[in-house]
Amino acid sequence: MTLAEYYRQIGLNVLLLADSTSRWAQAMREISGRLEEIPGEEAFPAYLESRIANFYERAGAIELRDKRIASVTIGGTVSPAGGNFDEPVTQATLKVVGAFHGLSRSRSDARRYPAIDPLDSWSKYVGIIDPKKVQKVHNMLRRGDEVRQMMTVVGEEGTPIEDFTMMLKEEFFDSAYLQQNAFDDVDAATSIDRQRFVFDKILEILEADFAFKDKDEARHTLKKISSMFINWNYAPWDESVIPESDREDEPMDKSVRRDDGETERGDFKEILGQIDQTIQSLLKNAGKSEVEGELEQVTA
Amino acid sequence: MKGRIKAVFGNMVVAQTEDRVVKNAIGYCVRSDGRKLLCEIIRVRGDCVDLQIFEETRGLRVGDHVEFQEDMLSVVLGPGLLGQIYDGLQNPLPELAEQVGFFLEPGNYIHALDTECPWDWTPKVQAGAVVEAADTLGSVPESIFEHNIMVPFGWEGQYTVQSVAKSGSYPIVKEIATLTDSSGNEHAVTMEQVWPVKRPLCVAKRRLLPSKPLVTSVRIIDSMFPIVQGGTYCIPGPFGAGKTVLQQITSRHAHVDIVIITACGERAGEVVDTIREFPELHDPRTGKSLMERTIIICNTSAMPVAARDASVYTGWPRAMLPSIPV
Repeated sequence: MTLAEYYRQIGLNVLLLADSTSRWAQAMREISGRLEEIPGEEAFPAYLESRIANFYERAGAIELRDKRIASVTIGGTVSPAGGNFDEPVTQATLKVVGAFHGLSRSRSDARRYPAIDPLDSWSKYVGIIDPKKVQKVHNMLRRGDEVRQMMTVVGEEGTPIEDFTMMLKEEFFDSAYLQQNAFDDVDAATSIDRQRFVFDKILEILEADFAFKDKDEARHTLKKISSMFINWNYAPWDESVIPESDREDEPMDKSVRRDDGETERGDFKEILGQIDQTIQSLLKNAGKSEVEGELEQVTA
Repeated sequence: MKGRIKAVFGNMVVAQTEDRVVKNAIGYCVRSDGRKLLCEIIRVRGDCVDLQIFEETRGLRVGDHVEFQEDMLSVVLGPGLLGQIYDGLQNPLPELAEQVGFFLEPGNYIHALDTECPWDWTPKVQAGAVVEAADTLGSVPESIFEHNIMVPFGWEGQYTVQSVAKSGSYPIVKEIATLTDSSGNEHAVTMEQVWPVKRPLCVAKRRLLPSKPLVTSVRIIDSMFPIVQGGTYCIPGPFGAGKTVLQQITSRHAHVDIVIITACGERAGEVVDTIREFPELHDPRTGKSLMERTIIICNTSAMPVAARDASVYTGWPRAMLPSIPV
């Protein structure tokens, strides 16, 4: 902490990764026990919360005396026993931090990385994407999860197609955007501009009203789109898709950029073209079938 | 100030003293073979003092001497911190391993910074200038940054610069400026300074509300659950859910200048992995080794716990190493 604060005083932005605060709390518990202090919840000392709060309180952005701005950001991990987030250390931490990235065992077992649970996690901060859009996606994720839970009871047969599509869309968002391959050179890090661009494209699909004939069609189509997006994630970013004035990325150091001699990576723009085409044709079909439906009604 | 050990249990020692000792001051328990073990006063009751020892207490006996100091547990700050791997007491682990072998004995302490390595000093103030704590006197290049040498943070009031060293190469212990306080006393400034770990270090005009997003390049974080520069976040997760991997990705791709990693109470094997892997990772932004803007502070689950508590405050873990293979 002191080292981090020192470099902040120099005028730099520092990230402190503390792994793991639980062990620190255990140490406090052990010492407190030896001091024969009165134990609090789960035998942690009564001052556990204030100590944790004091620690996180030392993070912050400051304006130095010469007007430069510097910051210390703290990211602490907690390893709650048995993944139970109700234990005192996690709870005390939650009260003071500004964002919570809850990792879930079931996601990591399902090989969905990073295993951050999109339903449990939250953040009080405003990021690089318009909070309204993020809220829309959150609602959709929640709704999709509800449908899935309902489906385990009533079965696929009993689920209306609108709900079914909703669930598929949620799955699509999860696999195409939330999951990220840490071992792939391109996919491991996504720049600000790229995130904004891809997010908007995905939102377009999430909000589109595809009227599928049956569940099989819905499943196949979204699977197809989803695999397109995953390929897209592996394609190197082409900054020319957005106007220069809107770019926010720091220019990359050209020397670091590898020459990709690999041919299996698709071209960013090419895949974008394919995706747009698919969306268009789907929307057209949807429109047509609606019109046909109306016509049928009229004739009837 | 001296005392005698009355009781030893686990990593705690109760000592008796007639001197007036202060809570949070440090001391040394002197083992019968002459080794000195660092400890901190955590409670004072009359003439009884409770100490937490940052080392294995094996070998301490009732009646052994304790030497109390006036200072609090402190870290050394100055150029040369980047790229280091420290234990919780700011002992550089690679150097320690070189000196005493891979399996560390208690009671070995080395200076945290290289006191001989010369740094290219460029003065930024002139004699006669009036300065305050944390004002820049000059700078040295460290890794890819300009490391500013500042007036020690604890100094109160205004000081007048009496003399400043000329540009050139100096080791960190060399006096690089002389300042005079308002009553005319002279104070020497070197490139290093010490700061007690439990006191927040923040000399600023004002605190800002954190608002600038901290981009990590991880989509789910940046888009859905953003973090900001100067903010705090927490990653709880059961064992094996990928916390450590996530931290590694973040430290590699996050848009920050410096990353400090504190591995506290993790299994020794994991810590060793981190230490081995990091120097080989390349920084995607500078193309150099990631270590050039990283400091690692580690202590393993095998180390005594007292350590961990104090350790949190250094960078973080500040602990002892009975036997950590580095």
